[in-house]
Amino acid sequence: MAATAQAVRVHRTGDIGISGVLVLGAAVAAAVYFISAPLAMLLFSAFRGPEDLLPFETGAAWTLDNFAQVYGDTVLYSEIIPNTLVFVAGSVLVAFVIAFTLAWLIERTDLPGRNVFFTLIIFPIIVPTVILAIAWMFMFTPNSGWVNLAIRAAFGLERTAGPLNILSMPGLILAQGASLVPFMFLLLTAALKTMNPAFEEASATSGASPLTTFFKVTLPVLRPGILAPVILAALIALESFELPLIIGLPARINVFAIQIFFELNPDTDLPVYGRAAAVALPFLAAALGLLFLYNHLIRRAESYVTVTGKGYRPARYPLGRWKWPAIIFASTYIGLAAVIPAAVLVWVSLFGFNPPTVGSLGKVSFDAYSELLSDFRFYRAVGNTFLVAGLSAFIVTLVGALVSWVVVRSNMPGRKVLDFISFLSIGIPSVIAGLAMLLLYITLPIGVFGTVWVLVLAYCYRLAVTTRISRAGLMQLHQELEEASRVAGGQWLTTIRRVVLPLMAPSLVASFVLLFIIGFREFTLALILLSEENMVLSVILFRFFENTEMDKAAAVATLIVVFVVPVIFAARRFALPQEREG
Amino acid sequence: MLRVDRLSKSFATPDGMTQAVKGIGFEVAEGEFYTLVGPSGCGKTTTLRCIAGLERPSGGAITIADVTVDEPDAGVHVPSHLRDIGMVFQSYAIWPHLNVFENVAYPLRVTKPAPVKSEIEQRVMDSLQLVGMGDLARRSATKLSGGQQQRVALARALVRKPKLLLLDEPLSNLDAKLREQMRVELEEMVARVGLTTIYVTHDQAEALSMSDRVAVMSEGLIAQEGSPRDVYARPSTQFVASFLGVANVLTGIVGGPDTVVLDDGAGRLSVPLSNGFETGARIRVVVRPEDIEIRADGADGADNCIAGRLERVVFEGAQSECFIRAKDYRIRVRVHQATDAREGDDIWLRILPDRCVVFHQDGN
Ligand SMILES: Nc1ncnc2c1ncn2[C@@H]1O[C@H](COP(=O)(O)OP(=O)(O)OP(=O)(O)O)[C@@H](O)[C@H]1O
Ligand SMILES: [Mg+2]
Repeated sequence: MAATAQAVRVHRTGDIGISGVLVLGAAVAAAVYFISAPLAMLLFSAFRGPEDLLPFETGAAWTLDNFAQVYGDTVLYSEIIPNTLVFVAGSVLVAFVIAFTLAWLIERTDLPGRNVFFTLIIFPIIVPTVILAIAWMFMFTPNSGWVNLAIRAAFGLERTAGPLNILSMPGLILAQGASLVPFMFLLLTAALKTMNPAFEEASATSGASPLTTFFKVTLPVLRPGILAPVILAALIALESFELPLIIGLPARINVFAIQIFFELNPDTDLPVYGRAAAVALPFLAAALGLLFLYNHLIRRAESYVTVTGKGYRPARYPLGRWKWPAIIFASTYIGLAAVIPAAVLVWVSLFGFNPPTVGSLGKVSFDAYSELLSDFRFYRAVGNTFLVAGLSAFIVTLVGALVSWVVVRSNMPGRKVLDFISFLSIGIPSVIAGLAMLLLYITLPIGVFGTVWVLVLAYCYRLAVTTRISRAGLMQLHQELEEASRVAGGQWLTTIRRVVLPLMAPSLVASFVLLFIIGFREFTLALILLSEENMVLSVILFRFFENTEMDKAAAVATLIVVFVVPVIFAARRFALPQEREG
Repeated sequence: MLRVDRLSKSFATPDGMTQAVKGIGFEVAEGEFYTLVGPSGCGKTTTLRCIAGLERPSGGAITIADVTVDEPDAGVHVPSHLRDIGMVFQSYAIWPHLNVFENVAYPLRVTKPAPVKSEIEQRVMDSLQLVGMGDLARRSATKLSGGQQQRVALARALVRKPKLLLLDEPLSNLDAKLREQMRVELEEMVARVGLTTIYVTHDQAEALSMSDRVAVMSEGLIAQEGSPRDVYARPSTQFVASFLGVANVLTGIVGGPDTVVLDDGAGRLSVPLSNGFETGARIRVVVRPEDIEIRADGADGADNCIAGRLERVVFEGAQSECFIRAKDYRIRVRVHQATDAREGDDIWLRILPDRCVVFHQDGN
């Protein structure tokens, strides 16, 4: 018996080989490190004090002071928690109503110009949210927002502020909601697409009117497919930082992400790391709760996928007299969320922050651009952005692919735990991730703090993106393809390199692109780990905005958009090959 | 009961318009079981979906129970839910958010005014009993096997006793054995309710065994319509003949009154020929495997016999398929009892004259 076990064990190591064990071991260690090390640090720091020392500086000790201060403060219960709840629920609701209407119009009706609408709706998904936030501020601040100026002029109102006020809870909710739409729209479109059209047709032939069908069949059948994106949007709203910072802070609306940032950047004192960590913990728990709910719903949604006939797309509902209201609805959203913000930014970059008038066209100035292009900090930010986004996307893709191989194909003990850890990363709000990274690298004496490398390491925590994608890719890859290579004499590492990775190429590319976009847009981590040296584009943009150098902020934003537009056309061609017939 | 008149339907596709249905017409009487059969892509589903009101015809007219429900030229289109129909979809379309009972009750619940609760209960259970699913009324719809889904879909289509029952390949998602069993059961259930039924299938065995009348479709048109026996025995084109079953095709020319001379000197047949065939015309003789006998002896030209060599015998249990080489032809013969003939034997084939169907060279 023992001899057999021995033989099997020998055979197994022989299977993978020393090189294989090393490669896999390194990948697993990296994956565990990227996620658990910062979280462990966060947890410990919450129990370290006193507040004027770093959590693990000599002299610091274990304490419950942080909790006593944070949870003894009534602001938490009277402001932060209620505000966060209202903010999250409100913006998810706004986003859902808009996104579902748009998805339904584009997927199921004969709305004219669906292709153009589709592209314009998803366009903001790859633009850093800071850009949108700034553009909306230009448009809707009560005193000088251009839309307000225009309304006051048009109606001859004698006031100096309003009528619209983005610096309010409703304003913040609408902005956050609008910024969530593209993402929700994509997921809801997918849900609508995968629904068997015969479900609705069976209702019609049972004698139900279209309206009855919609409420009794379409919505309930879609429910899991709808709830999952809703939960995910709630998670994103909870961790959202850009809009609360740019809109919420001047409006004195305190949500939890901002509270953490406050503790780190108090107006007067030194940063209080322990307290920030203590604030973070319950919100981390809430976010993870949402994550598990999401996971549960996704499984449920999969059980709803039943046999589908080889169907054609169902006939589209003719909009009839609803055609114009539908077009106006979609155009209004696109106008406010994509087109007008883009136009405003271009304008500000060329004409400064003066609303357009008849005479202003003559005052065009390229100063903002020329200053920018002669400023080495701008080039450094461009370099940093690409370096950090590209390198972290590469590392995460590689590590994620190997980790998913371990999870799917090996019988390594603890592979379930590994899968769980990588999955957790979706549920960690980026403010908390940023805080945890800050604590970790300020403590670890490896000299990366304040360099771009700390950003590369920090961005690597988003492992779940690849493990999800490459796991799906790996599951479609029949195990016999690997076995055939091994039978042909290929060592494990050779098999991985020459068979598995090439065959997984499409999912690897997809995950790289996605991670690159996420890294390109990233703002929160970069702001929290900010130093003079490691600024990226989204942060430099915010810095100009903070210093009221509006034309330069707008110029950076314009350049980002100009760079991003071709990417989205490439991505659409590449990532969405399904029919989008005209 | 149902009249379809010069129905046509075109679809806009990326490479222009395709005409899926090219002007077909048929009438179905009250209580009749009418089948549309044909190869994939011939327009069966499209026709059925037009009748259901799920697709708007491009031309022609559809009348259900003396009400014109579609006539594009007159701007008439009655939407699906206002037509009194029941339909079983190829994918069954059992709603996953409702249990078996609620799936079947749905058509009653959405009628206005809805029947009272006890009546709904009664009719749903009757319907479920009919399809043999009475015990599973409370089962979740996501936990049904293919055959069970099919029964529930049928119960749902029958529950409000519609004027017209539409079935689109209801058996094609079942495995072979279940399919055969359900074929008989389905026919019996439908017969018991006595509904006018339009059945769509690409399976000739289903079409022939279940229907009162069949229409064989090809490329958007009806190639032939009639009772299953008629269409099988007297196909009007070679396409219909070979679609409905295995057919041996022998080519030759008309050698005189009721005489066919086969090519390559394979022999002569005496076959009743109608007036349309003139002496010297090239023709095709189609004969089914079961309409040929194998004999140990015979004589050339006599008694409709031709000589051949038995190349291969495939034993299939209740019957055997024999492949016989006669000059250039490879002829398939089905024999029911064990034959003494062995592979390699020289034998004679006797072709039953009145079972032959003769076509012109072009297949018509
Ligand atoms: N919505 C549609 N858009 C474009 N073409 C269509 C559409 N529906 C059907 N067609 C085309 O019309 C033709 C007939 O299709 P139909 O589905 O009626 O065939 P069928 O006889 O039911 O075939 P099958 O046995 O494969 O189900 C096919 O060539 C198909 O490509
Ligand atoms: Mg079909």
